[in-house]
Amino acid sequence: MTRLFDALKCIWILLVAAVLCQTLVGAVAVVGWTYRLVRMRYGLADPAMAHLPETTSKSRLERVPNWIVRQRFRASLHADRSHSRGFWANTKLVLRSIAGSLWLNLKIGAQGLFNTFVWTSIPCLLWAFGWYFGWEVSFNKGYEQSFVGAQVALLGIALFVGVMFYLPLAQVRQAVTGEWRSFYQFHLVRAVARRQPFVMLILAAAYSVISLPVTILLAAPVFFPQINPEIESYSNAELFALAQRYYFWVGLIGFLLFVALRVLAARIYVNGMANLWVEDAVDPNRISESEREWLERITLGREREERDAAGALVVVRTVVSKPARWGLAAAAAIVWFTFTAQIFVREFLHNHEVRGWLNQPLVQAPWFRYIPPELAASARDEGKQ
Amino acid sequence: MDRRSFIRTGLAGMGAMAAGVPVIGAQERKPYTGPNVVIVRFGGGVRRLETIVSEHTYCPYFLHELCPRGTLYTNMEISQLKDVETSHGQGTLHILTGRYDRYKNVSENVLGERFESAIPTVFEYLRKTYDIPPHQTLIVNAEDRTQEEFYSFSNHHLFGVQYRSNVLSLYRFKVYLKRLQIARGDLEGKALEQQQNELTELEALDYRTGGDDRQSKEIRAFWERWREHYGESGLVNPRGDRLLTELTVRAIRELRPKLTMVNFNDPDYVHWGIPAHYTRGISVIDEGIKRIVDAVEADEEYRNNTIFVIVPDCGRDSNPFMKVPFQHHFNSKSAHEIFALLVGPGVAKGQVVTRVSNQICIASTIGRLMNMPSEFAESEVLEEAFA
Repeated sequence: MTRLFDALKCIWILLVAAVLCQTLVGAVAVVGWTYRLVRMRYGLADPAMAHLPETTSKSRLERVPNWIVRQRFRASLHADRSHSRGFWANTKLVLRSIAGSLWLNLKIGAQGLFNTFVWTSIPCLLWAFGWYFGWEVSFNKGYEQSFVGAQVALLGIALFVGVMFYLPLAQVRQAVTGEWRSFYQFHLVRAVARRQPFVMLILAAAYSVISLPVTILLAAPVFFPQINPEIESYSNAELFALAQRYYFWVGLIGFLLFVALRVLAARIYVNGMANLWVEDAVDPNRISESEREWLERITLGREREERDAAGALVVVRTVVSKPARWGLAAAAAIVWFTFTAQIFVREFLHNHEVRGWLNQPLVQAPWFRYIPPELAASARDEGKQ
Repeated sequence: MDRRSFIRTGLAGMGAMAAGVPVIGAQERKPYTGPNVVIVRFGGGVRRLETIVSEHTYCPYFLHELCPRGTLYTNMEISQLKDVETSHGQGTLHILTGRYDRYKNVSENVLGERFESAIPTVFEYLRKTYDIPPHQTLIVNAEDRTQEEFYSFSNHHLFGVQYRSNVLSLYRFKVYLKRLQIARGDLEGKALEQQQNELTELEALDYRTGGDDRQSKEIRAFWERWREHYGESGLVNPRGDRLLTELTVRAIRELRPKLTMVNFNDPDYVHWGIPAHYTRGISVIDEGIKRIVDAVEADEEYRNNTIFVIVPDCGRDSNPFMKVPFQHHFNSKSAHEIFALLVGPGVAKGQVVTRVSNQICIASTIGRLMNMPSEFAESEVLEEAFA
């Protein structure tokens, strides 16, 4: 019975995810859901759940957030109703329980995306400007200013590569702690990244490799008429339906890849933080008490053996870390460059206008639907006739 | 010996003939007294929607003023055959040779689009039939499309470099300028060496000429007047398709060509995703056509003695799944759909032909207009155009 329930819940999660990835607001909820997933599986305990009894569920999806109803709906509703009084209080409780997860997904997603766009909007704007300005200059033959577009685009790329050394771990830190301000604790995020440079290279490679199918999927519509020449005879309604089906599946695949990257980054972050804590490299006064408790919990049992070997480990790290770290950082920069190069190739093949430059679905909002509004409008008009 | 070496050796020998040495056994070529022909390649890839459809056109002069004076083929197409691709190089060669072919890129650059035709071009047919010097058969090319330098002659053993046309382009101007700067002694030391290396590289662009690609004295004189007018910086003269218009107008005035092909291309900028480049590019071509037509009509020798053949190299996609549906021309049905207009003496006026016709009929139609054999081209002629 539990297995059947898990299977149904899994299908529900994927279906809702695919639908939510079709709109920007839905993508915000997906970001929030993903952050909650990271927190539930790897992060600090949620104080909102502290008053609930220990769960006895055998479900494998116990630590997977809900899309709409509040987490542990029945237990939390029962616990809260036993304390509340009055009609309105009870009504608020019920509403909060019915849509509790939806609210959290949107709220946490908005916080997450806000921080992400604070860091990525400038590089994205720069390379968009570089692209448009560069091609305007080329078309209008203002060769004397031809360097402007190229250099601005390169600056945008350089900034984006620099941002990506920080952003994935900062996103995860925010998710793990549940605190939006923790995104800006540069010293900690930087320390985690510096502690494991090779792993950061792996993370960059994962982003670049995983973005390949996304690049292909988003560029593929260019070749639809060639792949299936019968499309030429489809009505607008049929074309629109085909596009909807296509982007539904792109949304589903994109969602899985988006979550995979966040989970990978989370594991890297948690491992890095644990190592730092064991090495006494984290100032306890600069983190919250709940985060201290979390670090104690995840490093339980590790301290004694780590400290016994600490002397040798410290010596080894000091000898190899600096030159190797620089080399690995340079390699990671090149790999991040391959990630950004895919964006340029994709936009050349299939121009998504400004949105194609300002939003990268695997990094920012996982918004995967790119149906031209003209197609939607013509399908609607056809339906009215 | 590989194919390239064989052709290079053979054509190098013919290079001497191109210099004016009489060819033993060659038929005597009569002087040309027929109409001048200006082929306008309405390129690089335009749809019928933004050109010949009245409510959506971006070339009002072409559609509303020129088309009523000639015969418009609204349903011309590039056949949907295996290996026939809808792109600029291929389309240009379809127009020039009158045959579809599977063109292979022979350059080292994967995206080079350098094609060599095995079939003679209309320029070669004309110069083999009539005694016309090369500077009066002209291809006017865009500044960044050096691959189109290769369309001035084919690899056919009965034609080839000795019957080639000349090319006017900024690339050719640069060759002339570098030669001049070296001869003037403007440069010394490393700068001179670099200039010489660049000149060698430019003149060796087409291996078929054996590195001996010299411009005739008429062309050099043309560039000298151009240089006096626009200077040497390359920043004063018009650019893009406006450059082609200016070159063509000047060429008509100074070189008096019998057959000209103008390879407009600016609409192709939409590959980079900005729709206005496509529509603006069409408008620029429209302005260019008007200017060339005005230049012809202002010239007593050309007025009433010049036929315009205006045809795109290819169409563009109409992909409903893209925000910019015409961004590319990747062999879709719409990319195969083009049109053609013939205007001039002996051409039927005010006629619109809606039957399906073929891009490769252009070459043999020009052959008929100029009264020359085009034996290797598609034999079907656009009969409706003849008054």
